[in-house]
Amino acid sequence: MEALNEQTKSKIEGYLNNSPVVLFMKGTPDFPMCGFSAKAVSILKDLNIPFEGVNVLEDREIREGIKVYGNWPTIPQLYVKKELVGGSDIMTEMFRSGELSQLLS
Amino acid sequence: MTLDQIRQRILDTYSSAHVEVGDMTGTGDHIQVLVVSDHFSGQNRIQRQRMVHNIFQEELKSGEIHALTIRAITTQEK
Repeated sequence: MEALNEQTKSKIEGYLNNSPVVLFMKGTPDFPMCGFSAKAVSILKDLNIPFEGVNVLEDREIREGIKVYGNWPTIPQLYVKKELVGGSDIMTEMFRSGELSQLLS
Repeated sequence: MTLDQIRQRILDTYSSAHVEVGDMTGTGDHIQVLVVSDHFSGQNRIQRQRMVHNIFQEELKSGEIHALTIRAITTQEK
């Protein structure tokens, strides 16, 4: 796994420090640009959870850097209190089981 | 990479697993896999998905596989 440069790392950590719930996604919460990102957004909206959406399509460094940062190869990625929860599969499973609303309450 | 190759790659790593592979979009790059293996017991969701991601590290990086939807469960959870 390649190293993450300090600048990208601190940019990512800036987002994580600013909001308890951060979704790194393709597109924006109002206009997701990928089906998986759209699914992740719809789950958070269903649960009425305020979150910060970070559009990785607008920032190439974050787009690649977030994969290294959390050792996770795909986008979207949900972070809660600076911890990686997972991508849209894990979000879907946890939404169905009720674990996600518990985690976010 | 064909669906058979994907299936075989998983079996190369987890030989006793039950594996099902699907193409979600018909484009060969949005892949869905079900892997049933007791190698997953004691691993949380993140760890289980990483175990499967790792098998396709190169393809996920190159974009040959754009999306990999994973269900990773143990035989007891089936």
